[in-house]
Amino acid sequence: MTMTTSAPLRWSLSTVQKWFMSVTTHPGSVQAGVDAHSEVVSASELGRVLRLGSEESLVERLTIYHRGYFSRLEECLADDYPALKYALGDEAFSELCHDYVNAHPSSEPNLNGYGRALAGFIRELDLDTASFFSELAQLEWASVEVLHALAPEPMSAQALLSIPAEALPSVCFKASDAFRLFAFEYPANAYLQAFYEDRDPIIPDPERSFVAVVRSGYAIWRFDLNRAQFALLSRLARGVPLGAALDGIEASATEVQTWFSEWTNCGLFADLRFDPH
Amino acid sequence: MPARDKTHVKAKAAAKADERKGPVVNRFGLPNLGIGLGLRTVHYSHILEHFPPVEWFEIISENYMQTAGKPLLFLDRIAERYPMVMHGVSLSIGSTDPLNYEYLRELKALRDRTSALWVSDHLCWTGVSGKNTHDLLPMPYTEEALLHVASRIRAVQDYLEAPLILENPSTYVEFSSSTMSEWEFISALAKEADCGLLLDVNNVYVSAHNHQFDPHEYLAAIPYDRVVQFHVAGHTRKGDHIIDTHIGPIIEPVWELLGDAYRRTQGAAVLLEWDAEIPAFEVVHNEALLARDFIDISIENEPSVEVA
Repeated sequence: MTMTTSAPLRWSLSTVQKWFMSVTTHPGSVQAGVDAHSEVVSASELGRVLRLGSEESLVERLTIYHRGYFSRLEECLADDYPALKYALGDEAFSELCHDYVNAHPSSEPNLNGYGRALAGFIRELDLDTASFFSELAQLEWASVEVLHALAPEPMSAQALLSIPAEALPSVCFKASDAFRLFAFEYPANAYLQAFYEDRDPIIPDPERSFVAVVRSGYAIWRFDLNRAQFALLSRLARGVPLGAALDGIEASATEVQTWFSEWTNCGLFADLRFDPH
Repeated sequence: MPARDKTHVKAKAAAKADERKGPVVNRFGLPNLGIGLGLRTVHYSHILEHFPPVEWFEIISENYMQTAGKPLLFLDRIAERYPMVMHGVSLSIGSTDPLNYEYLRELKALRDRTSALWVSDHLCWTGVSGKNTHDLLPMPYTEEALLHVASRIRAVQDYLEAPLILENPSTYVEFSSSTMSEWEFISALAKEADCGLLLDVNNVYVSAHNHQFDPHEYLAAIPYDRVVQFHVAGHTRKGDHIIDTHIGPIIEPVWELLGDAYRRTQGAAVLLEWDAEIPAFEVVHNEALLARDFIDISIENEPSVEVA
């Protein structure tokens, strides 16, 4: 193919950057990106923008940036969503990432939060068992969120034990910022745990499940809850006093004590206060 | 931030930096830290268990920004024990988008937290129109670009109240509109903006191959009184071009470029980057220490130049 060898295009820096970006992040390919902007510069005139021998080699060099753009963001999503990648399979996950990257280009200085919209993105897709994939994504993203969240020194179990019994109903808890709570249609946590234990999980049938994710120090805890635990934690996390939060919860005092022991041990509560009412 | 005695930590880090830094060797008064390593998450456990005798660490700034969590727990413990330098990938100093002052605010806070001795980034742009590709994209080397980047460097330096140290990138294309070579651009830019340089000799090697220029001509043109730090790294050959993959080990010609460049300095910090297929800590550290052979040979064989 013949390249035009006329004078370089004296574009402004802004024009250069917008053209380069459009071409190297085009959803299709560099060639498609060049063709899409042929009114600015045609493929045969690429030599007026970039130095090199032929159109083919210029496209090849630009493809280094194009491939890098999509693979970098896919790699980031694969790091955050390993179980989702396993559940979908490599090819489907790669296609999902490509679509996500096109719909949600990064605008942040780093990639810590890049995958935050993936669960919602999946839910909108015409995909079998999209709800399961979306819930699995929510759960995996929760681990990313609590990893980066501020996790203050957790409230000690002793703080709770030292409160007189008659004052306990008016205790309100402040949940850690590194705590997330979910009610799912699928057993997403069981699937995720099986994935981490290399038990080759298969896509499960729908089954109501409740999950908590919390970080304390270096440790991230992720555990299933029963319906009563979920109801109690939901209320406590909203600041409902303990007495009111326990209304209608079907559990013995011993069971509730055990729950609180486990929850305080994993740093679920940051603090407590007394409800003035 | 985690509950901790920040003042105490910062004082310790400052004292540690004073103990470890070498003689002043450049026009900015920044020390020669010796041979360092890029801090990578896969090595956290080894470092915190053994506290190996590494002279200093370079962190990727953005890995510890927009987070209040676990990455900072690791970083604080390591920064208490080792001199730190910050190396960014998202300043986007060449972009025509406005400077991101929220990013700069967080960058400055991280520098204060770690007592980092300097902050570096790349001569590149990473995106435009509010979109970040997270890649180091090439600049056209024109007068317009030079003035644009210089004014942004000055603004960043005013904000950080410190010299910005800029690294030459690896590139895979060149712009036809360029009116000067990369080394001419970088030299002119450093003087115009009065900034420091991080000379990545692997990037010189990669770009020299990709664009068919003489790397030694590049090295000869650099104002070495502004060179605060060197990078060495591995790369990957792909047909007619080379990709800057940071997969080690370092090939002999890159070490030789380091030697050639180093002898023109009064000494500067040297750092190995290894970012893909990262092996055990000791393997990376031993690879970095190979730099000593080339640096020592260079110093023995060649007189140093005067610092301007």
